[in-house]
Amino acid sequence: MKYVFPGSDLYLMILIDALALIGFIILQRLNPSMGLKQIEWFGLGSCIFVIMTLLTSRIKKWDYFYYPLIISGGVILLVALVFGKEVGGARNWFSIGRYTIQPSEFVKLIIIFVLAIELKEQRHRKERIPTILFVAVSIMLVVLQKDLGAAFIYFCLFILLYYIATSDWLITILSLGATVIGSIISYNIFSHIKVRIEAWRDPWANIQDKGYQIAQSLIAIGSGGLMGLGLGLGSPQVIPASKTDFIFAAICEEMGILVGLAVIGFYILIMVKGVMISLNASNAFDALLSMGATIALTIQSFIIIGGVIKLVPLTGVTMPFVSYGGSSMLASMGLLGILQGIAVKENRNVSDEEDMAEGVEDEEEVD
Amino acid sequence: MKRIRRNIKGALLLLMSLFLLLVVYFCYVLFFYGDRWFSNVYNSRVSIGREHMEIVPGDILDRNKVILATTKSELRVDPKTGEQREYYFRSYHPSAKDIDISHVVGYHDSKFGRSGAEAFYVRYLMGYNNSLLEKIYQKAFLPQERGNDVYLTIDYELQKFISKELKNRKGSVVVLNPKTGEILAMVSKPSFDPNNVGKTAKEDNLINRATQGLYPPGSIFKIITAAAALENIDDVEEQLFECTGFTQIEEIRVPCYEGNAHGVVDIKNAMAVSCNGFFAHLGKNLGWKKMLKIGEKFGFNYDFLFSDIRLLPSQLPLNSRIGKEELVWDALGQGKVLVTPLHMAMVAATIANNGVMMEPKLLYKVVGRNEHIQKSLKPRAFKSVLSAENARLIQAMMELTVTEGTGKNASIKGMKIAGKTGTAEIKGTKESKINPHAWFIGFTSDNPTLAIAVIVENGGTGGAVAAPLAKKIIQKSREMGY
Repeated sequence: MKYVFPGSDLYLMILIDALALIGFIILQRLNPSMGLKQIEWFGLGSCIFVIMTLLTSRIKKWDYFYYPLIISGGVILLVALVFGKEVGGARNWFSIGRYTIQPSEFVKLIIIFVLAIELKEQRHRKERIPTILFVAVSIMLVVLQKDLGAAFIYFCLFILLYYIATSDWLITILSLGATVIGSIISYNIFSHIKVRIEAWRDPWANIQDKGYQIAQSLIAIGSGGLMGLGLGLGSPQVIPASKTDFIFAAICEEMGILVGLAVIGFYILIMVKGVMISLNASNAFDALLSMGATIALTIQSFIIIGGVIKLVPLTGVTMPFVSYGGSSMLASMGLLGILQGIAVKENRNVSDEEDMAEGVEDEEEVD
Repeated sequence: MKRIRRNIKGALLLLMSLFLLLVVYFCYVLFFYGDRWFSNVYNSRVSIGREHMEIVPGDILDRNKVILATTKSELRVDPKTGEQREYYFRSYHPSAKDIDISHVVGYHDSKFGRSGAEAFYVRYLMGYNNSLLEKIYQKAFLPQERGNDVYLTIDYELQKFISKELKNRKGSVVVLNPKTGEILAMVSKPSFDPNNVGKTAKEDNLINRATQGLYPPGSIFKIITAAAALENIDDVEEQLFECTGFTQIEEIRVPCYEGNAHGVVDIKNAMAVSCNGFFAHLGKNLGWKKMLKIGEKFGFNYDFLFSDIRLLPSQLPLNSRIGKEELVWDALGQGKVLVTPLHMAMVAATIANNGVMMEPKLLYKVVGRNEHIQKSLKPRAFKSVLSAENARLIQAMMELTVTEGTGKNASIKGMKIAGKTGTAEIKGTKESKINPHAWFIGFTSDNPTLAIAVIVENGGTGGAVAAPLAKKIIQKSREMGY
């Protein structure tokens, strides 16, 4: 790694590998064919990772990509909305041949790039409206597809990156208010949101239907104890979606709460590393891009773990690098590629500066 | 760029605190609820009625080693293959139904699931609390893994006696040790046979009335009202009231029991004769806020999360929207107040224990392989409810109740008993008047090792029905050495 991509962050690679490994182990135990598939996705994801690293470290002028990105993002979401299938009640999948993909995962990357391109320069608020509209429409499209987790991630990306770039309180508070109003409206319109919130507040009261998933998740986590019941000795199969959304519960049940805490720790470290890369950036675009990737990974892991332990309502997102799923793995690898790309870019800038400084010294000596 | 860097650091703080919240919540919720989740009846990881169990559940015994529940196996014909196989099932003490250990011990049935101690202590019974070394040892060196034995604090002989005295009446009795919180007896009738849950479950007899039965307390609630008065009204002990059989508070008419005119009474007399007029005025003068505060101090409206037992919250629904009439009736223990017998025993125990409410304990000890004691009862104070001084004042009132007041039937020669009777009215129909619930709560004030709560559903008056029952039980308990 050090030779192919000088300046890339080794710790990040180790952390991701550790998470993926835990994922492989538990998936293999749950369903060997899925375990194998997950390794395949990891391989494919690694290619995506390399591509993203190259793209972000080498392309200097991103302005040209602005409109293509917005258009492709919109098209993907519209297509998903119109042609997608509903799987698991609140997620929208789209099938191409043998594979099912989750478009909202890829649009996540598009949004990060769009926001970074938009926000890298200081501009008047009015001029930002097209981007703001794009994000708002994306959120609405995704809410219509019942993918509330993606909507929340898009929203966090927008509001955090916007504030980081502009320190603009007005837009921040306005968008916060708009989201709150939007949430209340959608709570009242969409019955499935009501069901989610009810199941979150008291799963035990409806343990036989609405609350079953969370209740079984909590029971599984409670059964594991510190050291876990042991691989293969628990019963994670009673938890619905144990290989995707609720994989954290399966991990806690069989590998123990200590491993669960370690997983949380890994995500915290990834976040810290991502922020460090972002702080190290020399220009606004790089900082915003890497920060966006960090925010996406962080918020996603927070809401899925939080949903599994009943801190927040369930939202149907996956655990980055751990959960079974091609789209999830590819998109997460893409985010990793963004981070490493910026790290490599900065490293090259620094060594370029060093080279230049050395050059000056040489000239003086020649005298 | 500098500003951006500053904002990024701010975002880091935000994200870090999110994760901190996650970690803290995770640990907190597992620490307090982990066992509860595991014991949930929907946990299919522990279920009986199977052939060759991986882990044989341990026994449940009373504090004197009387076996109340154990695991047995028998040869049954497998319906699918026609072969004879060894099936495991839980077997309970043969008199379980008559002495009502069925609620405390519970049942563990392949069809009906688990309840009571079978459910709550499943972690110990299945040996999940064993250390890693112990688990490895059992897996490697023993022919069959076995869970641990759970000893309960109850006394089988005392339960037997109480059940016999209650006879066929519906109701509940709880006997506690006020100093340690140990539950010496917990009886709920009607009962069922845990050896045959399917056939003997009827109507509501599966419910443990002691912990899940909500009743209007009637006059026993006056203890709480009196406590509120002592805490908030100066010199309330000197205040006098003239009782003429009924009292009029604005448009509310509050009669005393059977219209008895009690004459001039102070708080002590009023408690002893259970004068509604006196306490109705107290309730109105205190107001809902102060009543609610003292109620909450006694544990009302509180989701008890005791480690040993599941207890429904008692309800005191007071808020700013309550009218005066409802407040007055609440102060008398009618209105919308609802309590559980165990909670009322805890209230009596609090007065006995200088105002400190101890956590109710049902787990005496957990014993593993080779008589190794894994866990022992550790008394824990739950709440500091009243000052010792106020507790003593209420104790004096309760003593007077038994020596000269409505609780005379509970007095025992050679002992000092403190108590309060209650006759909780229930709304009847125009055609038939329903008999009120008979309550008695009290404790042995000369040597406060026993607190008791008795309720006989639709039994009549507390003084005539519940008090004599409590007397017999306290006498027997003392004989047994408690």
